Amino acid sequence: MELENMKTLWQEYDKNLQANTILNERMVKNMLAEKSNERLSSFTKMEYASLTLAGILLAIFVSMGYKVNSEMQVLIPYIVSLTYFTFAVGWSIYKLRLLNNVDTYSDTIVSTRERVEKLRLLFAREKVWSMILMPFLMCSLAPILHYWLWDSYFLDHYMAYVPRFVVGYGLFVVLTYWLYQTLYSKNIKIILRNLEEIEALKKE
Amino acid sequence: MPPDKQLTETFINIIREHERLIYKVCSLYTSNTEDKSDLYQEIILQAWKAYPQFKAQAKVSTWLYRVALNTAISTTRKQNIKYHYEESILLNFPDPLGGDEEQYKLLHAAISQLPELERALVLLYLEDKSHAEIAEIMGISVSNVGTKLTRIKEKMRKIVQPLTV
Repeated sequence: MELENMKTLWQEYDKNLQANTILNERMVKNMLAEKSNERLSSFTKMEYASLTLAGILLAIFVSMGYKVNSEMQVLIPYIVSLTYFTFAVGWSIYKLRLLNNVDTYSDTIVSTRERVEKLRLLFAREKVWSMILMPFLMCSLAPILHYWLWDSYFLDHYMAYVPRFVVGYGLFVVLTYWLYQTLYSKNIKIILRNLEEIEALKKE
Repeated sequence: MPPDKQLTETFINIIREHERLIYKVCSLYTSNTEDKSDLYQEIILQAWKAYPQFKAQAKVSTWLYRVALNTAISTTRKQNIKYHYEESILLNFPDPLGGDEEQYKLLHAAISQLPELERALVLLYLEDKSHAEIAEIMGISVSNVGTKLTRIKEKMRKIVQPLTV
């Protein structure tokens, strides 16, 4: 069957639809009344959740600033953590703006697909990077939290933390490797292939 | 008539007028009735969400094709999408072609083997849209539409051949 024959068949299907479909107005009105159009995508929900979390942590760190002294082993972790949370808030806002810019209504099919795939790629890579950076965050959080909670310096008690750090880091490496494999070998490769397909479609 | 009610009425009239378009997109991107119904509802909701911004700069059908195809492509990538409307909706999709059902199945099987964007191109071609309109909906150049369609025709020939043996 050639595409031309398919067109004839498709037109018959169209005629059949014309004769057999009657819009269920009540159903459509009910759907619109339920305001389900306000549903958020899972990506957007997750971003609002991480923005809230990062915002709360940033607020806590800012408000606890008065408890930081000029001692380097407290001041440096505090600055690193504060920078991380500020960056996390900014990054979440940036991602939310990107997500809200995806307009599936007025954009063309190709540009929407391209934007969505690029976003998926950004999100997948971000997950990998956040896993890689997590130990550094933990290393900066431990001294400052120790100081705030027990009013003593982390380095004076670091031996107590070493076994926990070693076990935690070991688990972390395994988890990161697994996540990287899952994300890279599955998601990212698929996304890259989709982007290649889009590029091929755009090329004459 | 209050503006909200008027908006709803105008929207329903548009949907009534172009309902077949939505049915056809659903038919091409899904295979079972439940998925078709889910996609149908999602397209209507997305169109309703977009409707206040629709400035009639494009033809209604062009706008609705974009909404329907964009929604179909993104929705069919997600799995197990269920909606929770009070009224359980399972649309009664008409039988494809009566006597020519086998042919229709073949058409569906062949098109479903194409990548999603090419499937959209084929749908617009089957809908007898001009190259200019296909280009406007898809976001590629008019000359590119011709080139792509020639390649897709060739590809379809290769896909259909083993299916008809």
